[in-house]
Parts: sequence; C-alpha cells; structure tokens
Amino acid sequence: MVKAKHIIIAGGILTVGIIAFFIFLQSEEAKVKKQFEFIAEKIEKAPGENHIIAAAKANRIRDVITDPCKIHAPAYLFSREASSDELSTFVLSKRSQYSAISLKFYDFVIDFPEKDTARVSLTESMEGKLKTGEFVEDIHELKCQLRKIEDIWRLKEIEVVEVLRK
Amino acid sequence: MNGDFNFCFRLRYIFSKPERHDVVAIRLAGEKIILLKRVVALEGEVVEIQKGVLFVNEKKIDETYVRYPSNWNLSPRKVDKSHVYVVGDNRSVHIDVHQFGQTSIDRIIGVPLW
Repeated sequence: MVKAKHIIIAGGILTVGIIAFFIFLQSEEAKVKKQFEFIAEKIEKAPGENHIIAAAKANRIRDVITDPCKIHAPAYLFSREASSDELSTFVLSKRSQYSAISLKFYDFVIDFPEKDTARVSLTESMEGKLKTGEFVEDIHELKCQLRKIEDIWRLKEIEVVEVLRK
Repeated sequence: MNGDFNFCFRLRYIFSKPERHDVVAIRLAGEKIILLKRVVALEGEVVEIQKGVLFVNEKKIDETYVRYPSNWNLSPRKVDKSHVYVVGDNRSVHIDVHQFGQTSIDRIIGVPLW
C-alpha cells in the first residue's frame, strides 16, 4: 500500500515536472517570437513617416541585437560581425530608400540547444515600395542564433540561407 | 514565388535522384514557398552557358523547352556533391535578375503536378 502511494506521488511529481518544462519552453518560444515581431515593427515603414520616427525606430534595433552581431549572407557577398551602431545606421540608411515597407516573419522552428541560447529557423518576407516608385518583394529563409542577456533575447547571428548559388 | 498555388508530387525522388531536364520544386523558405526550376546539370558535372547555349562537360545540350533565346554567358563551374544545377525556362530576362544556380538535393521536395 505504501509502495503504491510512493509510485503515485513520484508519478505526480514527474507529470508536474513535464508540464512545467513544456510551459517554460512555450513561454520562451513566445518571447523569442516576440523579438522578431519587435524587429518587424521597427523595420516596417508607413508612407509619410517623418525623420524623427525613422531615427527612433532604427535606434531601437539595438535593443534586440548583441554587440557585435554576426551576419552571414553569401548571396550578397556579405559576411562579417557588425556593431549595434553599424546595424542601426544600416537600417536607417536602407529604410530611407523606401517610401513603404511591410515585413513579416513566420514558419518559426525554435530550439534551445543550451541554457540562454536559442536557434531559430524562419521565413522572412518583405514587400516594399522604393522612393523611385519600384516595388520590391523579397523572401528568404533565415537561420538565427539568439542569446538571452539580462533576461532579453538578442540576435547574435543571422544567416541568410543561400538556396541557389550561381 | 509568383504567388501561384502548385500541387507537388513529393514521393517522386524517394528512390531516385533528379535527372537532367526534370522540372523540380525547390524549397525556397519554410515549407510553402517553392521555386520551380529545370535541372540542367548533375553533381560533378561542369556547367557553362555561351551566348545562351548550355554546355555540360563541354558538350552542347539541346534545350527544346527554352521558349525565348538569350545571350547569357556563364563561365564554367563544377556542381558540388549532392547538388544539382537548376535554371528556369524563361531566359528572356537579364541573367543578373534570373534566379538560378546550384542547389542542394535536400531542398528538392518533388515535382510539380500542375
């Protein structure tokens, strides 16, 4: 009788542990996805946006990247570490070429290979209208690594997957 | 990529590998965004384009499916292991804006049905 009681208690503890583990994972996944939503929000641009808002948005990108952040985009012959200042300036400069930008991240596959590290595979879809009037549409698969620093998930590495190599 | 829906036969390459002239569906991103391209060269082969004419291992390849002739030039390059070289049939656009090149066989998810 005592043995059965112990088995039930152990089973209960195990069940609670498993549920807690999955709740933890889900909440961490949600936090990671939220960072990408934040990035999309800061990069998106509505027609007629003024310069102060543009500068403020680009500046906020620093909040979600490590310093430096490694970027690997072989299709664009770009592979190096960039400081948060450089990335913020790059975002400001690129956004200034567009009158409108829409950016979405989806198809998330997230895993946590070690504590405070997340590996994320996702799709990035961007539509924009250049100031010259030309429409731009761009879809990429991205592989990212994030580090949790001071309880904030920050992008440490971004790889733009090269599907076709000429 | 152009927003159209295509149905794909995913079992086509379970027991075989893509062959030259096959039109294949390549996973561009996620599970739903695909590119449709034609296989023109296989792993280990050297692919080259001279004034729009395709050469594989220095041998001219007839491409009856190419609708519009092009003046593309592509210097010789060897296809890596477990990769195939793919090009689209519409070569009326400039070579710089056309999406083509070698891709991993792992990214080929099947063949388009319609």
